[in-house]
Amino acid sequence: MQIQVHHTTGNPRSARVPSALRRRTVYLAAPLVAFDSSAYGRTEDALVRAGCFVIAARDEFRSTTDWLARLGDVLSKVQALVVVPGPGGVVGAGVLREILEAIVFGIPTYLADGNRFHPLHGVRFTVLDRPSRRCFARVEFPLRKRR
Amino acid sequence: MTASRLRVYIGGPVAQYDAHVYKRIVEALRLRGLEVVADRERFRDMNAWRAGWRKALSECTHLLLLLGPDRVLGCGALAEIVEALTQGKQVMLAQPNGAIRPLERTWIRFLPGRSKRRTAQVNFEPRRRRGEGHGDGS
Repeated sequence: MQIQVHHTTGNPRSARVPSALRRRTVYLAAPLVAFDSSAYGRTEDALVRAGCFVIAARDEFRSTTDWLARLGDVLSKVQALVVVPGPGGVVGAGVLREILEAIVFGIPTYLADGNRFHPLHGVRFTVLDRPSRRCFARVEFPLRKRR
Repeated sequence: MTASRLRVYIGGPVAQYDAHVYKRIVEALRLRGLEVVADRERFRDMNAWRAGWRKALSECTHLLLLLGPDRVLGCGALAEIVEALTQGKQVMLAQPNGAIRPLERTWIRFLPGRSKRRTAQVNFEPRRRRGEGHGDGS
């Protein structure tokens, strides 16, 4: 049995939101399958508690067509991008597109892992067998240090 | 790789690539009977590339990214990967020595600094020896 750490840990009260994210306007991205996950809700709560104004992808867009049309406009108004990976840490081409657009806009990007936020360059994307639009890569976070 | 229409694309900073290596790989693919749409031949400048790369990709079955020695990709190359996945194309990587391998099981690590030309680095998973486990805990 595979244990999915990303979705079993994390509490908005104990989340360690980096100072660079606090009180910022943040776009919260995730694969479609993660929109209704508890991880997405917890990350949103943690950001709100840290004083962030959160634009949640699940509430902002009506459809994929709407997302394609307005993503650039939305990203031009935010100060940071936070990505919540889907089950098993999997992300699709859509999330990769959001990350690339954020890089073009010069927006810092973080990936949420339970109650931690990792900068984009601190994680690794392992491309899956038979990568597709919905399942492109698995996000691998650095191992946590034991106390 | 099946004999099909193949588009060759160079990812990463252009200055990194040797034109002779590029030409040699394109010619080798054509000798194998593949139809190659090479972006250096098709697009004269960045404006032409911006206007035409999506259509060129849509006409092909594979995207081949030619990696430089440091295996760094820019935003343009990563955007082509995203578009290829969206269009259901297969993505292959060509190394400077001419070896071609699929994108599967590679690691992509974004580089600090958020440069559009040096955005991410591709790393290959070491080949497993026979009898070795998958190492994924399963």
